[in-house]
Amino acid sequence: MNLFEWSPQLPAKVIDLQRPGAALQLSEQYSPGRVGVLASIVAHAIKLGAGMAVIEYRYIDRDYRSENSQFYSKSFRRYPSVTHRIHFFAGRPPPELYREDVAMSFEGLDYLGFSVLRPVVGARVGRTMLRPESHLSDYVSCVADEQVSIFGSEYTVRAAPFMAQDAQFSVCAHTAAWLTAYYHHLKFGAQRLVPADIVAAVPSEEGGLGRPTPSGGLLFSQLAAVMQRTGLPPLVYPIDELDDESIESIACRYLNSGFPVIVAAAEHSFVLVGYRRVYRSLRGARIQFIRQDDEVGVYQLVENPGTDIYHPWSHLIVPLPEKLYTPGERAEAVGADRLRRELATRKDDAAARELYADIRSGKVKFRSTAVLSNRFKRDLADRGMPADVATQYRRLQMPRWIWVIEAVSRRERDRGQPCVLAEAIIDSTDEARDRRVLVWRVPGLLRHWDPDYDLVGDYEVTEKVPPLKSVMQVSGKLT
Amino acid sequence: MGEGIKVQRKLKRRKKRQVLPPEELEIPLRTRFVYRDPSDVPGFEPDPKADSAIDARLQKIDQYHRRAQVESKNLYLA
Repeated sequence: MNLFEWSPQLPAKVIDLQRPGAALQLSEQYSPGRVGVLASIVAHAIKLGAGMAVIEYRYIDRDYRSENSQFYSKSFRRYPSVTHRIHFFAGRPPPELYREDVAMSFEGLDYLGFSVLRPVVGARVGRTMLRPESHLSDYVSCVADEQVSIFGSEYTVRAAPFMAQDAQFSVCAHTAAWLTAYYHHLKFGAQRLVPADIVAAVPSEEGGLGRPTPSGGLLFSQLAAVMQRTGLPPLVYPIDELDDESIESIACRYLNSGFPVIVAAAEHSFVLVGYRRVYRSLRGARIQFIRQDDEVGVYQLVENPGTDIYHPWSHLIVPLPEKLYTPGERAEAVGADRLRRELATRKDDAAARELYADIRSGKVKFRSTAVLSNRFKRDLADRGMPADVATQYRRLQMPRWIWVIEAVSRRERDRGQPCVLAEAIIDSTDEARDRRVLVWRVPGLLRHWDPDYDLVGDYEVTEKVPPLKSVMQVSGKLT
Repeated sequence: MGEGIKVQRKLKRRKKRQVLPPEELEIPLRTRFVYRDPSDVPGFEPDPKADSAIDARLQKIDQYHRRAQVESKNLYLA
């Protein structure tokens, strides 16, 4: 497709993907002879059940415009300033599409998502929002909603953002930073950053000797500094230094909370957007991560970090909202300690005694999730909390972000049942050297530490609280 | 009736309306927590064994966050 063919005098074209060879032709049309990211995107759409693709011409994409104005417009080869956007729908094209006397409407179709295509032969895939496959959708925790308008019809797609690097203006590290920033924008209202903003935020003083554009790559420290400068200061975990923690324990806390985790590996970086527990009869469970790999495609399963194609993983970089000071593992250590001490004193309560014994024997584990306190309060009833206890919780003043440390029955968790038996709430902005727990609940008791008066308040829970759904299952999802 | 008397009566009526005590106008939204000094709460007394375990744990966490500040600056990502 040359420069002139890129802008036909048509608003769009519809492709019946269920016709033999249509999907292959779609990838070939844009990336002739290349088995690359676009082919993987089209294959993913087909797996989602796509029967129709609508190619929207002359789509002005904010991200590509920034690449074009800062880079492509400066080259001798001419590049259009507009993109194509492919929308994927489940089901075949409606019959009225083939009639000239009826104007086809895009209302009421099953929308799967879109992919923006750059007018750059070697780097077609731009901003992409495509649903995960149904068997993975419960495990992709970093999904956000995007509103899409297609010729006046409004749709919403819930997905983890994706973009392929163009290997010139942006490489994997820029793309990982963009993806994370775009996700935080959609989900938490962080600022909207385009690739040019990411490139401009790369600090030269961090020691990178290469030219900023075309970029040959970024140093790990430059990537961390980019996140800092773009309003998502990251926590950085050197994997070799983790001691009592592991890649899984660190990453899962943030993924539970809906925060993508950037992995810096051997000369490549990618973004983890979810995980699932895979059970093996004799060897117990193991974690499979789900990643957005800008050189491969969306929702790629990572069988094992230790044998991954990008092995060894070197660092985990977790960009976070500014007001989330406390690392997850610190919150978990403090919250779990409070719950243990509380249970140890409640020897008269049979349920508390049993829970204490189960924690000591490993039948009950701790799970940590950072969540907006408003969302935590809103979802208490949906998680199964009795109305009276929920009311007491809701009237407590809390910071914007809290860490919820849950005591989780492993057996119930593995059976997919409500599994939370107790919890502790940590103020995410709390002092590092005066560790406190804001609220904690154990069988028979809800306690609150009032930071203004330095008093501890008790509320006796007379009603039996059943195991609750985890906060990550309910409050972590957008509603 | 003179205008002055009318005004006086109006003011009197308004004054009558204003005599409602504040507790009838304001409803405090309370919780049912009963508050005490932490030193009176079981489970808050110092526990040297548990205290040193949690201190050691938090020190380890702080350590690898500190190391992350100074190490591995040269890992190259493309």
